[in-house]
Amino acid sequence: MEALEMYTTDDRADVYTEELKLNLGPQHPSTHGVLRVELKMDGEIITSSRCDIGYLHRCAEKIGENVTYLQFTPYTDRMDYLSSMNNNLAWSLTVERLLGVKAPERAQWLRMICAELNRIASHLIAFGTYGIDIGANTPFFYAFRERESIMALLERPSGARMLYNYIQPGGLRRDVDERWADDVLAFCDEFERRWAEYNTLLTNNHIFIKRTANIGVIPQHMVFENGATGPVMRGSGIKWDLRRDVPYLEPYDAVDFDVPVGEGTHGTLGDCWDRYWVRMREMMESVRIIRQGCRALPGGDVMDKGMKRMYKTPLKPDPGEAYVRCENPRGELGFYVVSAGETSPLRCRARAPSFCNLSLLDKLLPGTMIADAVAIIGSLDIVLGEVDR
Amino acid sequence: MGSVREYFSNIANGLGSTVKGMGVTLRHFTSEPPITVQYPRETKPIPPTYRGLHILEQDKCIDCHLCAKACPVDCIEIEATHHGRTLDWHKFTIDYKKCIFCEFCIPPCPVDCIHMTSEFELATDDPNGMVEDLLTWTGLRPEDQAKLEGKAGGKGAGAAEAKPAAPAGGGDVRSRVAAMLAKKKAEKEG
Amino acid sequence: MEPLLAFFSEQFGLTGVLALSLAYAVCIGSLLGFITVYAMFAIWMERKVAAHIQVRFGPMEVGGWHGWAQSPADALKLLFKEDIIPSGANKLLFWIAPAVVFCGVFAGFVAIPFAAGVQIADLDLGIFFIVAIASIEVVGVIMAGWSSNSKYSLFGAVREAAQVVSYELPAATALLAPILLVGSFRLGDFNTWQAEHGWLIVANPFMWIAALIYFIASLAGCKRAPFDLPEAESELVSGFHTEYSGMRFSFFGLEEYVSMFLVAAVMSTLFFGGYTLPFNLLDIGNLPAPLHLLGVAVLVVKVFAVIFVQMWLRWTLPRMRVDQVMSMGYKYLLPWALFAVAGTAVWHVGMGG
Repeated sequence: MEALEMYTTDDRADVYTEELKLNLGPQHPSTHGVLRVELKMDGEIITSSRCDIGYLHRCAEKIGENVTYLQFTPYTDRMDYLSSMNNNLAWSLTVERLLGVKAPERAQWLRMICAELNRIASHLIAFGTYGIDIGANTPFFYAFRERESIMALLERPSGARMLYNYIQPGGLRRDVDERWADDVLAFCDEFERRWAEYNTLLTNNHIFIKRTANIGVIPQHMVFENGATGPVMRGSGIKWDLRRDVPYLEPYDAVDFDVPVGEGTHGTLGDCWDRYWVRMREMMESVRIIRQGCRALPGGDVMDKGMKRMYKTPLKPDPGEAYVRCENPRGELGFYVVSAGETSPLRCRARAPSFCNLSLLDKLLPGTMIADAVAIIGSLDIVLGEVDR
Repeated sequence: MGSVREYFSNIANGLGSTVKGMGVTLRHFTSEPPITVQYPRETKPIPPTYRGLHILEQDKCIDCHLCAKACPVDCIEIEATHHGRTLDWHKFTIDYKKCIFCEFCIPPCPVDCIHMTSEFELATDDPNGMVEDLLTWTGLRPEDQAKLEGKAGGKGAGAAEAKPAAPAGGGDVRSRVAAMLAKKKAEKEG
Repeated sequence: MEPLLAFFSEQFGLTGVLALSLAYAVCIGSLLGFITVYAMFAIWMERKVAAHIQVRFGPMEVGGWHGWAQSPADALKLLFKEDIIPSGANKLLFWIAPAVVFCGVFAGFVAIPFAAGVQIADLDLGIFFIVAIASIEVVGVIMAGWSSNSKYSLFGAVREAAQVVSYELPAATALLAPILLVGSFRLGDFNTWQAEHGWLIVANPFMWIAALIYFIASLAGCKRAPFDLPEAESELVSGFHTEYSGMRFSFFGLEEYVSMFLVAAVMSTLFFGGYTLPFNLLDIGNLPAPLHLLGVAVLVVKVFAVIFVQMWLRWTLPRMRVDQVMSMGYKYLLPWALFAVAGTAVWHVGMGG
């Protein structure tokens, strides 16, 4: 790697040097949560790194064995708290598969729109915080301005700004109001304008490119060996998106959208800039999906009639198991549920995308400098709530 | 010679992207209005579906405990003695240290007596004060009162008005609510 | 300085050492007062500029109108903070580091002419003196980083030392271009030359390059973004001043804004005419007293324009990595600075000037 060649250590016998042990975190502005990375360093170069997770472990999966299927939905909100619509969706689809029911058509379309809006919101945070990690403090505020609009839009049907608990097994909690779809379309127009500005300010900035291109290159074999998914995988050129390849919602089949992949535009394929650019373009693809969704929104009920009783009587699925995976903003989220015929699951396990993506970190950091370490962690876009659950 | 070209393109890209970026920030400095809402002097409009503090229509409640069973964190405690068809209430509290505002207590109610309002200003420096006794107060803002009386409509109501509402009256939640209750009582009797 | 001495000898009959010390006390006291007030204003301005770029308001509460009293309030708070010294710290170095850093930069002000004759010391070596004395802050920063007994601080100090020292080269070289034309180091001469011949920045096309290079190099010298590695918040918490608290910490902040003023004043004097007006609309240099003090206002306006651009850049650009900073200084700025100097020389010889 470029860094290693430039900075080979001085092996003079008369100079005594010691390895520096540095802790990045758990209290650190750039570790995206409570993550501790033990670094061993030679001057500015990292020689080895070890991730220490578990600071945010809240026993969600164990709690899942003691609450009902419906009651677990808010817990899924809080795993990856930045994309809670998507988490709710994955969980609801899993329970629906276990029960053998399907949400009505309108609910499916609205689910898709809400999931894509949440994808934009989540990628906006990734964009804003990545700017701060690299040193540009301003794009964060612009990103949050857009995020404010999304949160106001999603607050109207669900009642909350971030932990929505809106997509529930069987459909949705309630229908959206009459003007919601028009307001969403208005937001899409506004967002397109702003997206162009983000690119002028950060994406095409020479300093930003120099800080992120050729850094943290993830070759394709490493992606497969470590189970990395989402923009991390697509940044390395692998064109795989569950929305297109394993559509878990019927409307994803009906709408047109591209799957952006990294192309090594400014450096090696699979560097930080590629992953960042994949996220930026995914925001635009989500806008496309939302526009088509709002225009094609069918009428009807938003909750399966048979499932409406689940609020009063807890669900009791027949014994069995189900695994459903969805394309979260961070990668592939999967829920594996085993039912023994009781009101609570026997086991509910979450396959969190950030957990698998984070396992790449210990392999990517050695040989880089601390400034690059921050850039690499930011480009993986992890949320510790999901890593630790 | 490639590195010479790279050298000059670095200069050009560096200067060019910097100037373009500065154009964006200058545009924001001069013509974009700040989006900060100066809370608590101003507030954002809150939609009617907002999941805030609960209210209970005590007269309607039949002590069925369906809301308490639906709660994922078991934060609702209810106690009442039945005398035939009437109830002697002892306790109906929600522990807001535990409540996650998920709204699962609302749909099971068979008589539609428990609701969530737009009240969210819960901050207190007394942790015991976080256990709210729903029997002695019903946290109300004018729009919540109207919603209760069916004026604003139920599910699927339109977006909230654009006018930002200042918190009704001063003081904390309890005194605001006590004032509203007294007013309601006076109206009923008068 | 001379008018002040004359004033003392005429009005009070004071001469010699007494008059000199009194004059120095008055000058430095007023300069210190000015600098402190300016720094408070600059911090408020930075927060406001940053806020409006980021579509928010910035300080609004303290003092009523747009939070103008936020800076004095913060300064008061810092004064009352507990003075924490890390247990393993080298107490002497820890104690004098902020002083060294501040005094190095503050000393540069003695040579800046705020208006015709309003100067603490009319040095023959004006600009040379300023460049030299401002680099004493590097010693202070290294002292701060080392004495803090903390790995993070040491990292920051080492990076900062490398960066500031490296960027002295292109900065001083770029300044050679206007010095070449005017033919003197004395800052007062720059003002009089530009009053006669127009602003130095338009004297020839190479001056633009020199001005740009000086601006960028001075940004690195002030440790401002995009060169704010020493204070890279998202990596090293606070860099070399991580372990400082209270008034000691505020000295470092003060030093940053004071060096911004110094650098902007140097740039305004050398490239933008100093205290003279464009096209010499009003011959400020030769106005009768006290009207000649208008020059102070002119200089301050120019300085704040430069400072605004510095702030604008800070909130637009990301941070550069330390090796990129070094490579930019040596491979890009220094050669072009030399080119600008050579070009200026060739241009003026060619134009028969």
